[in-house]
Amino acid sequence: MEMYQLIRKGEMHKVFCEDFLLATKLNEQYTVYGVFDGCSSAINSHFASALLAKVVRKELQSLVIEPFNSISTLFSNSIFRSMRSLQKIKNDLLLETDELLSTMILLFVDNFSKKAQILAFGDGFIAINGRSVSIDQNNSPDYLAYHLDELENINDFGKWLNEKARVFEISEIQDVSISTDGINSFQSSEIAEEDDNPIIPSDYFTNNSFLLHNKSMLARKYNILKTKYRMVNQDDIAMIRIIA
Amino acid sequence: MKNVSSPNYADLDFNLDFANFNPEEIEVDETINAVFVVDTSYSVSTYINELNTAFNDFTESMQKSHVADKLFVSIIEFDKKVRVSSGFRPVGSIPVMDFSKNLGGWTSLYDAVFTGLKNSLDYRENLENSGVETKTLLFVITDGEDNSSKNPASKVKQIITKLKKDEKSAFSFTSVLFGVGDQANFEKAQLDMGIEHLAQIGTSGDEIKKMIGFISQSISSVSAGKSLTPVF
Repeated sequence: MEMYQLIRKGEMHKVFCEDFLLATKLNEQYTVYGVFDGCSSAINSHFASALLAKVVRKELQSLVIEPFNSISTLFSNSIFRSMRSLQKIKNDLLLETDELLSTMILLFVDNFSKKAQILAFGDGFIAINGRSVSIDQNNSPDYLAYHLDELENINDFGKWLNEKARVFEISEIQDVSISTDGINSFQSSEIAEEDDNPIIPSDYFTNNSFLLHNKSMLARKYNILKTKYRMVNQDDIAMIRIIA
Repeated sequence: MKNVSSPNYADLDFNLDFANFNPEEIEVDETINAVFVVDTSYSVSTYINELNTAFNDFTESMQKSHVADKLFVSIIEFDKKVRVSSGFRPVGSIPVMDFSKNLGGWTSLYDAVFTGLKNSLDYRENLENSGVETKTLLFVITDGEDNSSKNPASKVKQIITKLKKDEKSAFSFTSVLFGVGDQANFEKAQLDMGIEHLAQIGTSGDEIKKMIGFISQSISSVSAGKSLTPVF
């Protein structure tokens, strides 16, 4: 499988890019990809997204994977353990909940069967084999960090996860993208002329085949949007596209 | 009928095959394009061995450096003729150079700089259209003044002035003229062509090494997003 990735700071952020990327191979069979978007109105959100990504990676890497485990089980176990770790880190570092607010979209891929699952906490954008979905919670995402204290009282974590997160099952991965909502924040820096076929950045990144098989595809498309179409992203963007 | 004389194009190669690297095969989204315009008129024979050694050391060290993936090099040699030894290629595929192979008479400095500059801008445009951001460094190494160009220096100056006025390219293009020895008025050549920086250096091995060292340093600085401030 080919993996393309892009992370860029948005115009409205002065100093930090608050998005983060994750790509981690668990074994020959499983690989997990993730995009994270720190909440702009919270505190040190670049730290929140990076921390969450690192915690999730650590818990994914330490999963004990049995041949009979389904992707859902592995997902559920890793998120549960991540939340527990995050709660411990929160206490150890005396962090406020506002310092842990980040969205998270994870793509869990079975490289053998080509089956995959996406789990989304909060806003973002996904494209599955040509079909796109914008996940919009009106900029009030239900962040994972809001639920850390509930952890001990959850009886059926798998059920809880299905209620709190958006879950997308993919029977055969062909061309799948996950992105933070920055992908929908491109604006033209000049008054655009009438155009019968205006370019749609999300479509250009996730469905267009220009520079396919070139590892810098997304970065170069980003440059083309900027230089040729004068379009710049207002919000940070982190995205991953997987082609089987 | 008035006798109209045709210009003598015999010494200008209009079939210059730059064979620049295919932009679609580039696997980075930003490149540094360094073009070397190197004087190979007879007079450079006093330091040609030092230049060969220093240039080939430069290539070898750049091939191992952290900028290797994004460094593209083009080499133009000139005496009376302008020869494209290499279009823009990844530094990893630049061969060992021997500038003494084609030593000849006269100095077509302006033609050579014009040729190198034009190719670098054409290639830059191709790269930008395919999503590759580019920084261009033009290094001219000569020991003499122009005495045989078909193009006036002003033609070069016009291009550089336009580049420096354009917000898009003003900070991504830098040009340096290295005047080797003290036989020529390099300042005039620099000013007439509008080249931004002038460095006069001696013909000793150490001086040539210093020049190439400066070039390596410039490439690293530009790669790190810093501007080039020549200090010799």
